[in-house]
Amino acid sequence: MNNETRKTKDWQFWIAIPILIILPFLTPYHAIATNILIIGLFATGFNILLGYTGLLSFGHASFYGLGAYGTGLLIVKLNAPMWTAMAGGVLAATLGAWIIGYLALRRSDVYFSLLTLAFSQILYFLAFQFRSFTGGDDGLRGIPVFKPLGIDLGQALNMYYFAFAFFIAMAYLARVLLRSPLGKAMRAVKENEDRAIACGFNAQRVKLISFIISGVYGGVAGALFTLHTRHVGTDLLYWTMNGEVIFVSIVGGVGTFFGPIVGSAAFLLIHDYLQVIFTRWELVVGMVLLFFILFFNQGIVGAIENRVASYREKRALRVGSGQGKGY
Amino acid sequence: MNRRDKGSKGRNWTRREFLRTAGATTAAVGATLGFPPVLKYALGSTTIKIGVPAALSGTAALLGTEFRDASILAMEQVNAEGGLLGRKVEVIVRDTAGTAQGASTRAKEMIESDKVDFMCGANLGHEGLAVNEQTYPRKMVFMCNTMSDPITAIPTFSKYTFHPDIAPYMLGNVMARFAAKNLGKRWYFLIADYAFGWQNYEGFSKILKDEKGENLGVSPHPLGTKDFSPYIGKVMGSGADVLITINIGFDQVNSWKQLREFGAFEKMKIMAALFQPGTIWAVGEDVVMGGYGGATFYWEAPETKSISDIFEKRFGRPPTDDALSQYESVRELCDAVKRAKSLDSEKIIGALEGHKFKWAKTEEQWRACDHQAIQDIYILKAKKAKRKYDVFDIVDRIGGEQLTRTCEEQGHKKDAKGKWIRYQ
Amino acid sequence: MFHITLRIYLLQVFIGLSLGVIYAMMASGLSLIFGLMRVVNFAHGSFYMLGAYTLVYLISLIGNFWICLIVAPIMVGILGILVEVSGIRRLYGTEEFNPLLLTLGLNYVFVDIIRILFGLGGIGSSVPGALDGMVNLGFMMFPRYRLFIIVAGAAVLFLVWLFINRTNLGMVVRAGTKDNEMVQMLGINIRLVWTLVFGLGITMAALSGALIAPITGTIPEMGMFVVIESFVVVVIGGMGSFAGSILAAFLVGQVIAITNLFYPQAGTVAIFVLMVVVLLTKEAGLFGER
Repeated sequence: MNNETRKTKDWQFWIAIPILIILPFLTPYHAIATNILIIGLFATGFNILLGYTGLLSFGHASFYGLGAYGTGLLIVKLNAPMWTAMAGGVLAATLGAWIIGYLALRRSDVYFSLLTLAFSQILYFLAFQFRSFTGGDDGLRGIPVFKPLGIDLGQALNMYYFAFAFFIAMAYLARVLLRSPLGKAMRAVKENEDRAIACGFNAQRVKLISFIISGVYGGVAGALFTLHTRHVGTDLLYWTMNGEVIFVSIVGGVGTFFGPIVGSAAFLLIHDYLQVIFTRWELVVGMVLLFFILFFNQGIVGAIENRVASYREKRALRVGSGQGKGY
Repeated sequence: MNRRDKGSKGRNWTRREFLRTAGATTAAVGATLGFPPVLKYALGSTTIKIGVPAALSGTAALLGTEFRDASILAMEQVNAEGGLLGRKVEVIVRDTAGTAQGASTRAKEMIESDKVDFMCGANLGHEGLAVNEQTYPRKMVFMCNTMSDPITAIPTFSKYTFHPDIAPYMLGNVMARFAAKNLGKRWYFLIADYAFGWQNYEGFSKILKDEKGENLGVSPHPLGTKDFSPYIGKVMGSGADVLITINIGFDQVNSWKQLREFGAFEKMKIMAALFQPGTIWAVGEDVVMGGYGGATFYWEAPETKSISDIFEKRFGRPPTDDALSQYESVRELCDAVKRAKSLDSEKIIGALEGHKFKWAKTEEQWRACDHQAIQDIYILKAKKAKRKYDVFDIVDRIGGEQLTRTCEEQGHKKDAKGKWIRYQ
Repeated sequence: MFHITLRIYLLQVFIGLSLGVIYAMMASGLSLIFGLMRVVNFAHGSFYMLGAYTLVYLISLIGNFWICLIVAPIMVGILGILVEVSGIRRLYGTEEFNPLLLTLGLNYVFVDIIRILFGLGGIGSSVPGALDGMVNLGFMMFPRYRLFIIVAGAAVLFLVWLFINRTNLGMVVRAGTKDNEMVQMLGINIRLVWTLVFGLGITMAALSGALIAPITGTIPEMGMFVVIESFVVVVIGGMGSFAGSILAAFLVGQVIAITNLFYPQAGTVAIFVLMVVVLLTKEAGLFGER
C-alpha cells in the first residue's frame, strides 16, 4: 500500500479511538457498550475472512463458542485462574479454526460455507448433549467475578475498559496484519484466486491462515463474553449467532477496517432501542439488512470511506494540477 | 468471483448520496441516544422498582406476555392497597427474546440503568440462571420464576435467590407416582430435547424405578418439531402401557394430535408432564381428550377462581400457570417488604424464609434451606369444555415437602450453630 | 431391544416416504434455483411457511380444501417472482453471496410480518374430512392424509420432471444449468427463464408447507429448521441436479425414519455428519457438478 492510501485509512483510527473511549457514556447503560466491543471484535475477525480474503463462513459461531466454553470450562471444572482460562479458551478456538478450516477449505464457495455451518451445528450438538459437562442448554455456571490486578470486573465500567484494552490490541494487530505481505496476499486471493496462484501465492495456505486468524478473534471475543456475563449457554453456538455476525459485517461495511465495530454498535443499539417500543424488532433488522444489501452494499463505513476518498482526490486534483503526483 | 465494477473513487458526492449516508448513520446509531428507551409504568420518581425479565419475542413469546400482564395486575393491586413503605411500586418489564444472552443483558440494564430494587421473573431455565449470575453479586433479591432443578441447589443457589415455581423433580413426584399407581408400569417417553425435557425425564424415571416399573426407552425430539411421524414407529412398537410426553406449547399439541392420528390413544394411556393451556385453548381441548397432565395452577379451581376472574376481566383471557406464578411472586415480594418494613435484602430474606402465603391457590410456604416454595400440584384430565376455558377436570391435588429433594440432597449443609451455610 | 416387527418397520418406511416427498419438493426447488442462477435461497423455508399460512387462511375464508391447496402455492409463487424481480435481480453480477444475504434478510422480515398478522402462537388446523382416518394398506393401517401427501407430492415431482426433461423450456433450463452464457448467446431471454424457475421452486416450497399444514398446524418459525435440512439434502444430492436432490431426499427421509427407530438420540446431528462426509468425499455431492 502506498503512502497515499495509508494516510487515507489512518484518520479512521483517530476518530474511532476517542469515540470508543467515551462510548460507555454515550450508550443508555454501560453493559451494552461492552457487548458492542465483544461483538465488534468477533466481527472484526469475521471481516478479515470475508472482507479481505473473500470467504463467507456460515459457522463462525463455532469459534466464539469455543472461546467462551473453553474459558468457562477451565474456570468451572479446573478452577483455573482468569488469565490461564482465557488463554485456554483462545487456544481452543485456534485449534478449532485450524481443524475446521483445513477440512472446510478443501471445498470452495457455497460448499465451503455449508461445511462451516455443518461443523458449527455439530459443535452445538456436542455442547447441548453433554449437559452434565457443559450444563447443556441451562448453561455453564459458577464463574466468579474476577478482580485482575485489583480491578473489580463486576463493575460495568471496569469490564468495559478491560475489554477495550483487548479490543485496541487486537485492532492494532489487525491493522499490522492487513498491511503486511500476508494481508496483501489475502486481498490478492479475494480479487482473483487463479491469478494469485499464478503470481506464486499458495492460495490454500493463505486462506487457511486467514481462517485461523479470524477464529482467534472469535475466541478472544468469546473469552471476554464469559467474563462479562458469567454464564455460557448453547445459544452462543446456535446458527442464529452466525446470522448476527453476518448482519453486523454487512451493515458496518465488509472490507472496511472499522466496519465491524460500527455495525456492531448499530445492530445492538437498534435492537435494544426497538425491543422496547416494538417487540417485532426482527422485522426492522431484516429490513435494514435488505436495505443495506440492495442499496448500500458498502455498509456505513464503506460509504463514508468512499466519500472521504473521492473528496480527497478532488482536492488533490485541484491542488496538485500540473505537479504530477502520479497515479 | 463475480464483481460489480465499482469505479466509485471518481464519483461526485451528490446531495442525495450525502443524505443517504448521513441518514443511514444517524438512523443506525444516533437516534438511540436521544430517547430514553423504557417500557415503564411510571407512577412517580420515588417508586420502588421491580425488574421483570420476560421473553416477549422469540419462540417463548407467549410466556413472556403472561409474565408482563400478571406483573402489571399485581402492581396495580399493591398500589391500590396503599403501596409499599409510603411509596408506589413500579414494574419494569424488559424483553429477553428467550435467550440467556438476552437475559444477561436485560438484567444488567435493569440493574445499571433502571436501578431496580428487586428482580422477579425469567421464563426459561437458562434465562433464570443467567439473571441469577447478575443479581447475587449485587445482593439483590431475585424471585426466579423458571421451572428449574439447579436453581435451588448448590452451587447455583444464593441466599438472594427464591424459587416460587415448582422444580421438575416435584412434578415428577406427583405425576409419575399417579401414573405408576393408576395407569400402568411399562412406560415409554417422548421428550423435548432440552433441559426441561431431560430434568423431568430424570425425575419421572427415578419414580418409575422406585415403583418397580419398567422404562422402555426415550425418544428425544428437537424443540419445535412439526412432524412427529419419525418417532411414531418406536412409540407404537414399544409395548408400553403408558406414554409420557414431556414437552410444551405447539410441540405438545402437535405430538398428541399426530399420536392420535396413528392410533396411539387406543394402544396406551398418554400423560403430559405439564399441560400448556395457552396452546390447548388455541387448538381446542379435543387434542388432549382422554389424556392426563400436570399443572401448578388451574384457573377454574375454587381456590383460584376469584383471582382468575379478576385477571380475565382485566386482560380478556384467564391466567395460565405462568401468569399466576408470576402474580404470586410479585405480591409475595411486596408483602415481604411491607412486613420487613425495609428494602434491605437481609431483612426481606428473613421475612420470606418459612413464611406461609396464599395469593392464587392453596397455601404455600418458603422452605428455609433452598427458598423453594412448597406447594400443591394438580393432576388434570381433559373434558368437554363447559365454557370456553373450562377444559379440565381436577383428578387430584398433591403437595407437601416430601415432593422435593431434601436440602441435603441438593448440597445444603448446616453449620455448627444449626444455620444453613450460604456460599454466595 | 423390543419387538420391531415387520409391520412397525414398514410403518417407518412409509413415514420415511412421506418425509422424503416433502424434502424432495423443497430440495429440488432449491437445487434448480442454485443450478441455474447460482443463488442460494435461504428464504426457501419462509416460503414453505407462507404456503402453510396461506392455505390455512384461505380455508378459513373459502372452506374448500382442494381449491385452496391449488391456489395457495400459486399465490406464494407469485410473491416469489415479485421478490426475484424487485430484489434478487438487482444483485446479479455483484458479489456472489449477495443474493444469499438478501434471502437471509427476507427470512427475518417474513417471519415477523406473519407474527404481526397472525400472532405468535400460530394457527391450528385439521385434516379435511375426506382424507381423514386410516386406510388399510393390506399389511398395516396408515393415516389416509399422509398417503395423500405421498401421492400428491410424487405427482407434482413427476410433472416437474416431465417439464424439465420433455419440454423445450425445460431443455433451456437444463442447458442453463450447464452453461449460462452459452444459452444467452443463443438469443434466449435468460432473465425470464430465471424468473420462471425461481417462481417454480417457490411454488413447490409453498406446496410442501401447504400439504403439511393440516397435520402440524402452523407457527411463524416453521420454516427455519426445514430450510437447513433441505440444504443438507440438496448438498448430498448435488446442487444443480434435479434427480440428485430427489434421490437424496428419499434417502434422507429413510435415514431419519430408520435412525429414529433404532437410535433416537442421534436425531438432528446425523444429517450434518452425513453432509460433512458426503462433501468431503465427493466434491459436489452425489450427483452434483461444480
